[in-house]
Amino acid sequence: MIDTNQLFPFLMSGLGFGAVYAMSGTGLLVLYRTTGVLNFAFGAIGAFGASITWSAIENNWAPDWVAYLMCIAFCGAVTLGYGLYLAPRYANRDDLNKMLGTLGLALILLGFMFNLWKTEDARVFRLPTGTRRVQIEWFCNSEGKECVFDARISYTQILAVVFALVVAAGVTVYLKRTKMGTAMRAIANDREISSLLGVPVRRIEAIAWLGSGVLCGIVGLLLVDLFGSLDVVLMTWFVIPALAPVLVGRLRHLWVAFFAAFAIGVVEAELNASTWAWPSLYRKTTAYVVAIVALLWFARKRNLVISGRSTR
Amino acid sequence: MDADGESVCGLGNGETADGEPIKLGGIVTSVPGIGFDLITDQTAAYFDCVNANGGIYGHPISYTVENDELDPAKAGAAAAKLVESDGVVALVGSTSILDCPVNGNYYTEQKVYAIIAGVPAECFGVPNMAAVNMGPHYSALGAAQAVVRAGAEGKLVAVTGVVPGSEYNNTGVEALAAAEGYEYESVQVPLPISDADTIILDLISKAGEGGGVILTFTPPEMIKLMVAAENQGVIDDVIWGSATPANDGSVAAAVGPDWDGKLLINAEFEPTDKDGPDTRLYTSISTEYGGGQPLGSFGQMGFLTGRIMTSALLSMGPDAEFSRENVSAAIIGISKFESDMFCQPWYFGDLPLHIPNNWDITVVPDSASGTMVKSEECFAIAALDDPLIETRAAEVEFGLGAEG
Amino acid sequence: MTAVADDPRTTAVEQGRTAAGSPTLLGKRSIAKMGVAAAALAIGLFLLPAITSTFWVKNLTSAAILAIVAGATGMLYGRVGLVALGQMALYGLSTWITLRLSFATDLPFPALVLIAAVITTIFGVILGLPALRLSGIYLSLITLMSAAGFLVILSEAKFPNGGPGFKGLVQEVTNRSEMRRPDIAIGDFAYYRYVVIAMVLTYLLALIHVVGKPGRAWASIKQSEAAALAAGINTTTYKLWAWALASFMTGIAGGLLAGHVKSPSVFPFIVEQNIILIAVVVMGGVVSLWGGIISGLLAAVLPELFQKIGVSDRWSLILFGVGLTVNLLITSHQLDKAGIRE
Repeated sequence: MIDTNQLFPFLMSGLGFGAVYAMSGTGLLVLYRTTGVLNFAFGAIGAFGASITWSAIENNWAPDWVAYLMCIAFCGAVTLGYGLYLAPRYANRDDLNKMLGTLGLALILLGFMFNLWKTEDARVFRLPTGTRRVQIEWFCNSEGKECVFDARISYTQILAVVFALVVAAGVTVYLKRTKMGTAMRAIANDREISSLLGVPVRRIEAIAWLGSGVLCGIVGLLLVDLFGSLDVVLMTWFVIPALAPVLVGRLRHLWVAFFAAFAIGVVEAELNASTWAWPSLYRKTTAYVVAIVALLWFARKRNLVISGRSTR
Repeated sequence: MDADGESVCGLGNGETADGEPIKLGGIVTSVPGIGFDLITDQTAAYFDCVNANGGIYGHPISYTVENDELDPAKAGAAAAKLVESDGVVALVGSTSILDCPVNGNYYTEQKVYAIIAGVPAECFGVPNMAAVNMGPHYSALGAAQAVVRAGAEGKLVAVTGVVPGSEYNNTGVEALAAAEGYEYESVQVPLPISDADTIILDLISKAGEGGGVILTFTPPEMIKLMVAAENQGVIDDVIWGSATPANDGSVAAAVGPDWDGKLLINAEFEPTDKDGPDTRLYTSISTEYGGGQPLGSFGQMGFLTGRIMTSALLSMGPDAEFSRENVSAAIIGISKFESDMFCQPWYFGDLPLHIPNNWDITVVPDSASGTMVKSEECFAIAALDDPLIETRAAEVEFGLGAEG
Repeated sequence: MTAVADDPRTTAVEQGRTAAGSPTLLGKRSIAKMGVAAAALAIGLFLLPAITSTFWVKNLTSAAILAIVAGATGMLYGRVGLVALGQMALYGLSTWITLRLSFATDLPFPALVLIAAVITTIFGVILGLPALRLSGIYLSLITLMSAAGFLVILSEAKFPNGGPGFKGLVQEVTNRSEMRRPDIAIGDFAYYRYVVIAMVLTYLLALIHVVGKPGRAWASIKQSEAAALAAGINTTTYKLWAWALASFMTGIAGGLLAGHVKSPSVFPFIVEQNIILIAVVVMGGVVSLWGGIISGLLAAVLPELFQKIGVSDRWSLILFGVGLTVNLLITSHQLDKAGIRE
């Protein structure tokens, strides 16, 4: 029923994707709590940034590390730009319309990517961490041939997990301990009252936009390495499964979302270890099923969700 | 050909054709992840070269390509546009996942003939379409033959992506496994691939130590899988084979030296570094008219469709009326088209179905040169199913093409 | 549910009536409007096919079918205030059912389409019953997640091609069958007229609802669900009613698509198409059903027009994104000016 030899290597691979879900989730969740915007363009911005990196590496515009920074800078700039110039125009709309606005941005970016790059062709760049790998061989028998835990993981996978932890922990500390963080939480509770009380709403929102944009650039780079190639369509709509853990965290609980992200990543990978055909055929539905179940579970308490904004 | 035995475009006289154009059309699938426009672009480049060299006795070829974008409604509309609105006399270079299944009957009704590069099964089962390639079914079968010769043991696993009609990509390998006494398993993975690591580990476990894995994917998806196999260090665990699309410069350039000589790719055509008149002409057209596109099987398919169509049109003579009916007759009349790219001459003929390219060459990645290099000379695809058995019989009986 | 309009307490409903604009069939200008509609129908049915080629007729057929889906989505958005991001999944489901039924039975084409639409409605309601307890952003997200999940299953199942078994798949080329069209609409031009008439009929069905009691209840739900509840409107029933109607319309469209393309692929139903759909629906306008027709034309004909004038049809994606953004900004601006906070 289950191929036990594969459980451990699949766990490792699942943790890598779980980490990317967790990082995306952190970026999406903090931005939503601060600004009320569920940024559907998260994936498109990351894919665009990664495409710029690809061009820079391919045409030798700059050393590789500068090319990586270009991706992060682009994502930060576009996200911040949207936050400063377009998002305030939706300030009086509900969360649904704010979300639709970011869908517009996603379509525009995707359209430009199709026009600027030959997206039908294979495009690849490897992070330095992607080509270096560690062999894990734990609890091996005397000949050292059969091991209980046997897998090969790349430094990108390790980097993703460590980075996801650092980001989530960093954001938690920032929100709890710093003045800006406290202000951010105040805005999340009530934007207008915070503003009346003298909290610099615009500045705090700008920080949230920028931070989320930088995260989006990092996620973009990591995804190219984890997917094995730069697939802009895949990356653009990666935001949809990445929303699943955020929804499990009810769009507010960072650590719930964080662990849900890893759980989804691992389950998605482990379903492949089944020797029955259908769990592995339909493994890609994991994130969606989790999101649907979570939403329906919350819908039991009707008053919670009668309006989009009230749950924040 | 000119006096020195060099291949030339059309009449090869260096004069720009400015007569009444002959209209040809093609349908291509080009969406992110699946792009066959390398093929139609090369067909177009060939016709540009023909038009700059006297055209078809002074008639330039006007070539229109429509993209179906993987949408059947668009594929149907595109065929109607080409056949009815534009009034093309024949179709050439078409490479689409949807064109044959959606428009096959329509072309038969409209009596339009096509020289194409075929993808799904429907392209290889009709009287009025013939492909210069053998399609994924026979291509994967040829790769599996190479994998068996390379000493694969126990089990063959055929893998392809889930697209309309993709079962067809794997069934050739299934037939070979049955004939050669191997266990067999078919795997179809959802596209686009997002978890190549788990897919690769799963394949290795399914095939078992020393088994054979035969992949049929477009270059972008292929690269994801090859990179994952590299990451997991499992390249030497099984013997790998691949259908033709992987014979692409982008694949050889993207993977590391671990893959050198380890992926047996069915190339269908002679490698692009071969010293032959057609290959030289293809290389020069690719630089001159094709915007320096990477050389590979896809480019060769585009070149050959254009070249065969041109030779059929020229065979009609300078005073012919280039109507749909006459051009169709000329296409049916193609009986022994020789090229140094093919293992055997190519033909069309009045047959119920066409698989004229049924010989295979194996190439492998070479990281030093960043290209694919030849590892096996021409061999015949095993005739394990009725269409190919009938084709081989017809080749002998009608004296068409070569004896298989 | 008692008669809403006769109840003296239903001030919210009365407000709703004005908010939704004067009901089309009952207004003073109704005769003029019907005249315009009849003229448009005549042009669509007879003039357009006469002056265009098969290519454009096929594209117009696609547009008319999409107009039904867009009309349903626009009705949910504009009349009830529900943004469904999973309509394309229901559309694909219905196409699959129609094909499967067509190979399994000898039923006439209209029966195939109607049965498929009814089954699609049942699926829509099964999802809608719990999902409609959610609102706003949550409802949109659950529909989008459902569509994404459904697409994985549809890609795996593939569309039937005349084979045996539940999936109806066959591998041999020679054993494949084609989806049939109605006897009176075998050709592309005839099928186009058939689709346009079907579109008009589904629109009339929607119109009857919009100008009737459900329409008034929807309008009041859209303005304020709490107020509608207070006014004694059974909001769950009326929301589900709208949801079922939209599913039914989408189901009809799916059946018509099966006849249009005969051998469908998954591509028209991918997740991205849901986003494009909502963009063209917002661009076309969600208050009037005419918006649905504009949306259908935008999605199916505009990219071809782009190609015709030598512009890559990939610009249409950018245009849809810009159109969505501009429309949202304009409505935001109007709301600000009117001093309305959502």
